[in-house]
Amino acid sequence: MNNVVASLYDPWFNYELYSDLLNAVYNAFDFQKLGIAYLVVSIVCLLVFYKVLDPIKKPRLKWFLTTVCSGILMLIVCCVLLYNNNEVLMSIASYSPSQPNAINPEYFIIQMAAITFLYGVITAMLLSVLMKYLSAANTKNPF
Amino acid sequence: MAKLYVFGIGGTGSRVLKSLTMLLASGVKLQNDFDTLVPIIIDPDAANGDLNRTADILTKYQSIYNSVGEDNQLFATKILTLKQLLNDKLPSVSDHFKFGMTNTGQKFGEFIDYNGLDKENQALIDLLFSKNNLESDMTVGFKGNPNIGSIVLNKFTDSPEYKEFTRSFNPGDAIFIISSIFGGTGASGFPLLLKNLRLNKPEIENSNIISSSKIGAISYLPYFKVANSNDDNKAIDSTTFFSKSKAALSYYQHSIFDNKETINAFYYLGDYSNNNMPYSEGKSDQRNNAHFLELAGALSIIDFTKDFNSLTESDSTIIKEFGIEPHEGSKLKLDHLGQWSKNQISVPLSKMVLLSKFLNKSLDVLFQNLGEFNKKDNGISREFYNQEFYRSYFLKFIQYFDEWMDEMEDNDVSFAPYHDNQEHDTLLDFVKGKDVERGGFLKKNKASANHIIKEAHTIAKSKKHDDESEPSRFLKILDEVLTTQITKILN
Repeated sequence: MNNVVASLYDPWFNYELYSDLLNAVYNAFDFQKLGIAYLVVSIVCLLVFYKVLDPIKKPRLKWFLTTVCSGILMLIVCCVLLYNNNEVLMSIASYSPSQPNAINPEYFIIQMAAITFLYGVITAMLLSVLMKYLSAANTKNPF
Repeated sequence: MAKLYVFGIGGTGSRVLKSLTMLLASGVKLQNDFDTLVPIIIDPDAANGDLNRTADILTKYQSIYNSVGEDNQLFATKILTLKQLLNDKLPSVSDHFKFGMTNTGQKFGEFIDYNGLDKENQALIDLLFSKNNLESDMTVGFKGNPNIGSIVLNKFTDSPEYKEFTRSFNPGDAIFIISSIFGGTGASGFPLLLKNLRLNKPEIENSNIISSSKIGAISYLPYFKVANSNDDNKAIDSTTFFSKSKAALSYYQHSIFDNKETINAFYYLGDYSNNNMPYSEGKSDQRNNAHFLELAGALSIIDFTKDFNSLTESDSTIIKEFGIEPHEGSKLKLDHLGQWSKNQISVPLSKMVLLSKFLNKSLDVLFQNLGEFNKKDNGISREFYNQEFYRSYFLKFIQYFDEWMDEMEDNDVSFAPYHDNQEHDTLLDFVKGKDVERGGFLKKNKASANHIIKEAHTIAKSKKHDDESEPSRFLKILDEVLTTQITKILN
């Protein structure tokens, strides 16, 4: 799973510039943890939406907000993971803006979080196709 | 299975039949083996507003019943005209619940051929009937003159409808007669009809079965007044209602109650109330507001079917009056009804009221929703709400039902058991005296119609009504949901 999830992030980065940081995430199996988190967070959010809330009024808007919530939670998970990654922390400590071609690790974390947010929303949307059948009032939500 | 023939005589008869139809639509059922109601409205005033409104309501009911089929809780009882009962193609028999009255479209004097009588007989007629009586136009009924009605209505056994009625009568069937005692048509029609039903004439088909069948009746004592009737030129005067009632009761005593086995169950209803109906001698102007006593009268018909088996064990007339629990205030609520009445109507009536409120206030929210109930396969498609069943029959019937409830609330005595200011989010908090939590900070709103929609989706998802037609599925799912909600609210 580590490889699969890592392949989702690679296209977003210039590998030559970000190889150290990407490897740090990869070596700590954080991509795998993110993959598991995608599934767990999306399923929990969608369970709350389709089974607990199962809204009657403005259902599409509320479904969209649920996927956004799922994305935000994934963003938080991503930040927590990266700020607890030793190699990334060391990079933050050793980072100096005066170094040529130096990448700000905190900027990397923000980029990773933004990408994770996007994938979090997409994962929740995709899982809705299956999870909607658990609902009574939202079996046609989103379509 | 047996049939109950209900004769509704005059304007009161029409209005009680309307109330009975509303109760049957709500899910109140005839008891024992009765599964079919055959309403027959006897009124010489063919243009009477009450009669035509009742006939239209009955026709709408039939259309709904025919679309949804049997085995429903709402609209569960079969209602048939005489023509439908016999599956007859006879053009002379009416197919709209009205009993064909012949020779009533003329003046009473013409009916008895007053001018053709010799002087002695004219003198006798002058003793019995006033000049106004002889000049009275019977197109609009007998305008509070039972002495005219008793002559004219004696002819109704000659009509094709009466013959069809006797032909369709089977052992085990029963008859119920609704009339008022203080008017013209009802006061004269009831004893005449009863007398003819009890006659065993070999030339009349099934006469032996009919004459020994169980017959119940309700007679209305005065329960309304007629506005501005002190004018001497007006034919109907409500100050005479009580004296007419006394005279009629005295006649009933001798002709009906003193003879055993004439009538099996007799119900009295009346009320000292101050409601004034607009003055009208008939035609479309006679369209009185619905009154709670008419609902009570409809309940007496249910009571008659409940007691049907015990009536066979007694040869004397069972006489009943209707009463309510002591209460303060002028408006009646469900809690003010007696236990039996409350058991009969609380859930069905509340269910129908909630259904109407739901269709008025929550249909838009339902349409926005993306659940199973809105799916064509196992729910109800959007096209359904534009089809004839929904638009022409069901919605119209619900409008009649709302009108009926509103009129009962506006009348004196006022029957007002429900709030009328609900919106979607407070819909379930509609029964007076049965508050439902409307929610608030950290409190769940238990009164929202969302609960109805959600449960309707759940039932649709269970696919248990998939084999039904769309109208039947619509009624069955909503009935199931509303029964659950109403039971929760009332308990």
